[in-house]
Amino acid sequence: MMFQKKTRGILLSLIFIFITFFGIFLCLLPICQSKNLSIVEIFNYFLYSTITSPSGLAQTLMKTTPLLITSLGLCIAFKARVWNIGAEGQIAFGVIASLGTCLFLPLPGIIKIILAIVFSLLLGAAWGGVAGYLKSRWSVPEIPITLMQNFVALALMDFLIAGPWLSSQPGYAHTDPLPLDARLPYLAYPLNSSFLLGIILVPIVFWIMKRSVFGFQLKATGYNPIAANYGGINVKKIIVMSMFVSGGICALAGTSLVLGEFFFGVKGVTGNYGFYAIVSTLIARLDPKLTPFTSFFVALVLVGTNALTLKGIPGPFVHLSVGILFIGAVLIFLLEKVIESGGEKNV
Amino acid sequence: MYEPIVAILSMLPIYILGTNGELLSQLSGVYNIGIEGVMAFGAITAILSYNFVAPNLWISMLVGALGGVVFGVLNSILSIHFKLDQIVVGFGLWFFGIGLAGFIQTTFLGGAPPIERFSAVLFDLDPIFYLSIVIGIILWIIISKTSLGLTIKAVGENPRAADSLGINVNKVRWFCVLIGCALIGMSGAYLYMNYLQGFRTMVSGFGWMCFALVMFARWRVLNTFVGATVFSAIIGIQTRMQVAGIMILPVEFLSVLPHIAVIIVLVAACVTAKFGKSAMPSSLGTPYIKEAVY
Repeated sequence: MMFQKKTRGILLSLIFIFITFFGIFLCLLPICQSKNLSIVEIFNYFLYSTITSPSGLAQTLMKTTPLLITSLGLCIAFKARVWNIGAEGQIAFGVIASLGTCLFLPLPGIIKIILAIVFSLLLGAAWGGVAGYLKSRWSVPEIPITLMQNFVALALMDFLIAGPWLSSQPGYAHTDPLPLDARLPYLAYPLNSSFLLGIILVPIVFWIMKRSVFGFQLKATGYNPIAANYGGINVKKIIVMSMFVSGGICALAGTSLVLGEFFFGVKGVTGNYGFYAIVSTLIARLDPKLTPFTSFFVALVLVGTNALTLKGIPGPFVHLSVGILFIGAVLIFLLEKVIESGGEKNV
Repeated sequence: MYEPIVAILSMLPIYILGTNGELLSQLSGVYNIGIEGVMAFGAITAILSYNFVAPNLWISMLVGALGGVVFGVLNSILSIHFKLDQIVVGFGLWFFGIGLAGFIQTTFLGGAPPIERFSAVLFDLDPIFYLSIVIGIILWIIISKTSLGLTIKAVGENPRAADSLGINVNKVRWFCVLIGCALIGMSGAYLYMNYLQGFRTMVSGFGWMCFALVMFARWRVLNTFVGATVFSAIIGIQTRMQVAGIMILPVEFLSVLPHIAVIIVLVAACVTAKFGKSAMPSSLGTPYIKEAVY
């Protein structure tokens, strides 16, 4: 072992940031040349639209919110080696629950917000728990199941938004806007106080994973389920519980999107955050302490590459940079493995 | 009655090629979670070769297979040689493949897929249909009738015992992953060139249907033919209902029928598997480390 574990984590994250920036700008070079753009200008614009200008920074932090909440949820499932890639569908259920609560319940604002959070937790947990139950009862592989659940949940959300919940005003392709008292207040214009919800969740998830008995059981189940079973841990129950908790937390991202960013329901409100959060969880190497920084970085890349389309970079470059992020995450796992083996030959 | 059957059968090659590619690498003990990315990359190399190298569909299919092999090499280096977590590697290849392919498609090709298709040779079905059936049967013979198949299964079931017999475990896995990825790449090329006639940048789900079919077939090549037919029938019926305007369900639900079918099929396959012998290769998902102490 070359460094203390803590310094190593931070160092690896820095290397990751360097690798991905290098990769992204390497891919940008030929495009800039073919379109007669200056790479320096592009780089400055990238930074301007993400961190150096106040509005850009607020925009990046706004995009960080759903990513951060989802990553925290995924940390819990991934720790038990339950590969939950159904976050997108769980977010959709969060959206459904919060829209239903805030649009149709005749209650005062603050109670509606609390109820929206509670219902999102419950619905997301139930939807995620299905996959966990199937895995523990009949060992149905969770990866294809959770992925297919995404399509079903998104279809349900689209159906509700385009059908029964569609705004009565003509020409609208979305639901009625939320009543003013059911919206979370802004901190600084695009940045909403839903960001604080994500920040509050960080110590809670940290406590669950590092200090509680459940967290230890998660770790044991993920590390070696057979040994965990010998040690008296009910592995099947832990697998269901991990999906249950993970689904609930991921659904909160849907609440934050509705109550803090869009204020109405529209198709595509979930914005693929469920997939992007996989990479921010992997870069943090399942450590909830690091997720705020990694999801900020992923949001930075998303916002920055999106803004570059104004400068003439083609739109799908966003997808390519997400791909680069994922490959970078794999390389970081590789680097960590090489460092851990301490240069010993491990054939 | 004749025409719908042709429509259903013409989708079979996608499933047969993709499923058997995935099955081969899973038999040797390597999860290929990146199947969707491999398919996308195979497709994009095929389309590139059609537009810039030679406008010939056969050459494109071959190049698509080579594109699959490129990703197979990446997967093998990371998950067999460096023994990384196969699922993490799979996630990486999945999103990298989709992102790269979508970017190339819209930037360098202007979003245009080739318009040409394979012309029908026999019973209104194209040559790839017959080719895929032949490939499936050859794979079945190799896996269940030859010593090479026995070697592959031994590596997937118990790599340590296979190693003690002098079999080079990692070499067999490399071989299976590369051949498997070539088949998956061909399947992707066929899918995007002949069936979808275009490209979707985010998850389209066909790769995952192949993944589910492997489990449905319980790792037997002949069962994949049955599973592939069932899935093409479901997709065929769904599109026909949508076109004919028969709306027993809202359109949003009609379009996710195939995905619901995957869930039902997977659960059914796993529930029934409980009553028989487990068919899953025992070492699936675990890299082979020679000096590990147990």
